Amino acid sequence: MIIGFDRVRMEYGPQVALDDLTLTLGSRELTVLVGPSGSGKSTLLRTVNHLVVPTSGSVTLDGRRVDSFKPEDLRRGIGYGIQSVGLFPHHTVARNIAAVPSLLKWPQRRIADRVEELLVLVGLAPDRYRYRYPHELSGGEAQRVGVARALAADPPILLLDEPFSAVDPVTRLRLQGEFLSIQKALHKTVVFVTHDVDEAIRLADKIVLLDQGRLVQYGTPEQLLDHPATSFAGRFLGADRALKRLSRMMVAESLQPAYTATLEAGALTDFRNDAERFVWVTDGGGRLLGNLDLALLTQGVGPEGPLVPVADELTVSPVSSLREALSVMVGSGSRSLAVTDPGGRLLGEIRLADIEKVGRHRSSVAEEGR
Amino acid sequence: MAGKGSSAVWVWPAVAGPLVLLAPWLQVKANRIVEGTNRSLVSDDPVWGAFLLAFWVLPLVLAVVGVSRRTVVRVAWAGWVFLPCLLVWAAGNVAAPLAPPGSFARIAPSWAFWVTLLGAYGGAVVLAPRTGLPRVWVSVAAWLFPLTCVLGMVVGAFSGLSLWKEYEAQGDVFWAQVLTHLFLSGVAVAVGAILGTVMGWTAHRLVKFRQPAFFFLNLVQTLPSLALFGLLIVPLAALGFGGIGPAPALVALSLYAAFPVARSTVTALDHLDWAVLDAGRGLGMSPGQIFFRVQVPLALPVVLEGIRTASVQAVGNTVVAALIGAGGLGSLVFLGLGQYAPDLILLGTLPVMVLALGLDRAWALVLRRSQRRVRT
Repeated sequence: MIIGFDRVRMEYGPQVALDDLTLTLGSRELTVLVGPSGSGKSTLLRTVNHLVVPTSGSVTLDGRRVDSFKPEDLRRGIGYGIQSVGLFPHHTVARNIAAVPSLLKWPQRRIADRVEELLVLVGLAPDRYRYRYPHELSGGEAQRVGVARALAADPPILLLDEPFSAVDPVTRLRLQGEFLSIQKALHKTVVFVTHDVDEAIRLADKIVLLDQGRLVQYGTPEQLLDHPATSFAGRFLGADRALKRLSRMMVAESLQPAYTATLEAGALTDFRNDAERFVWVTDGGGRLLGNLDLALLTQGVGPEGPLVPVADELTVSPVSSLREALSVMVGSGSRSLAVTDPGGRLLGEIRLADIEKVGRHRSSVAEEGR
Repeated sequence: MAGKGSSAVWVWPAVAGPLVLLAPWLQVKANRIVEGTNRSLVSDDPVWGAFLLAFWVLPLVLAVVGVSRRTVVRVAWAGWVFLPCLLVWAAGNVAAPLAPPGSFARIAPSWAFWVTLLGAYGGAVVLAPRTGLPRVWVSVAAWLFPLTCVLGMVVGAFSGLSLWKEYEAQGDVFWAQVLTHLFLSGVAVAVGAILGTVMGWTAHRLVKFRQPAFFFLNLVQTLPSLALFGLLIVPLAALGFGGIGPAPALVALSLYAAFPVARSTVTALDHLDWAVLDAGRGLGMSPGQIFFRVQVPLALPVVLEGIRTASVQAVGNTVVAALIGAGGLGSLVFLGLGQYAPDLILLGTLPVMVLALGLDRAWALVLRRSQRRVRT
């Protein structure tokens, strides 16, 4: 569903929260509204389900003005999740999730099935959580229930106002990852508010950068990182924009075949190396054993002696971001890292030179853009 | 011995024991009017005296002998739970032959009786949590004394006591006044609850209304009830109600009852989680649905707490209503004051105490139910 904002203006007394904002959000995209506090991002979100009624201008869903709906009907068709979750403390998890379906008077059987399905979707075991009360949930569990409640009636639009900001960073990362995979499967039109640039860059198909109620920039995270429209946008996105861009790229995209050798029965075989001094050594099953300095090998020592094992935290997975890979490289002083699958099998390697190349390439594009 | 509660084991008996032995515990009068003579346990009822004293002395002895502290506490607690029961029974027993039916003699419990009663009750309450016994035991123990009293009344064990004589003299009037009392306070609480919740709700919604409303209710609270009754005489008479009687009493009592309800309603509504209400709106609840499905259930426990306060207060306030001719147990109290008959005063006040305590307990049960699930 396409969400259109046409010269939307919101005034609270003398204060202007939204300043004649015009913008169209794409259907089935995850749009993140980001900006400093007081930039109007929550206000803008709340105009979509008519919780905030603009002073002037119009908000439309597929061309139809939101104020032409009965507010309750409009809101029942739009998923809504907020930072403090706002679960009903006197209702069980199941009844909380069933809030909108029961307002829509679904039959009991269908509601029960839907609740079960959603609990599974957000990663909570239905039998353990169905009859719990909100005060018996951890912050992360409550947020999951909040997301499930927003998705309950399968609305085409989802409005999420800082849904993950009240949980600890580790839980937040996990919730973001889970939400991304849910979104990949469901393809809702999502409007997501956050003040956290990293969260915005990680999740967004498109970013809307707001400041003092005005649209600063609208585009993909890459567009914003490469061409910040104003000096404010540059500052807000941070001096580490190049690194942030790396966080959107996965190791798998820059994966290189590794120089390897196989160690079996005390002897090195199957050399795939023509130029390098170091090789990755694997066992017969392809599992990474360590790396080896070939210069030491030529001095007539057996291969087990000079073999250096590689610690788990010095390998990366193909779904790690290039930013994480770079961080490991800088931290360990290595110029290449082994890329392994969860079973420890070597998939290839990622090299500092390649990461630099990706970064430089984008920067030069940025230069041409000026 | 160290720690909280140990003083109850030592100090209580050390003070209460000798007092109980030496002080007058029953007052004997030839009839309702003449001066009475006091009886002490040492001089007149040595057997009962020694027996009752044992309850105070036994824990002390055990403590000195060096029995474990938990045992001392348990023995003392159990003793003090039984002591009031035995005491009323003893008083009835001693009084019965002194004032047989038809005699004019009046046997009234005197202050050693009341001190022992309160001292033992207080001691049992202090020690109860330190006994380490299951909660059920403590709850059952709390019912022991009231049950003993009811049993004694049913079998006529207290027929020699002056309070019972007053009750017999009042006959049906007593129960009629109990009913009037319940009716007055019940109606006042019902009206006060409705008035209070409506005022609380309005004050929550309209900030402008809040100040005058609470100014008015505060004013009512600070006025002595008798003055309020007086103030109401003129306007109510003008409206066609009598200036005295149940009508003005009900108006005043309802206003008193409205205050705690209004205040708890405002507090409850003001403190509802904003996020929960926002979520309700955002999910598409109509204002009516938010009110009945979110606000009412979440505010209810706090509002009920206000109604609980109001009903306990109303039972007490209703006593004063007798002064403007509304009836109720207060009329016994004021009759007793006029006749200089302490037993008649007691006949009015004891049921009021029992009613207030009983109501408070009953509300506690209701509230535990309603609060079980509402936590944020």
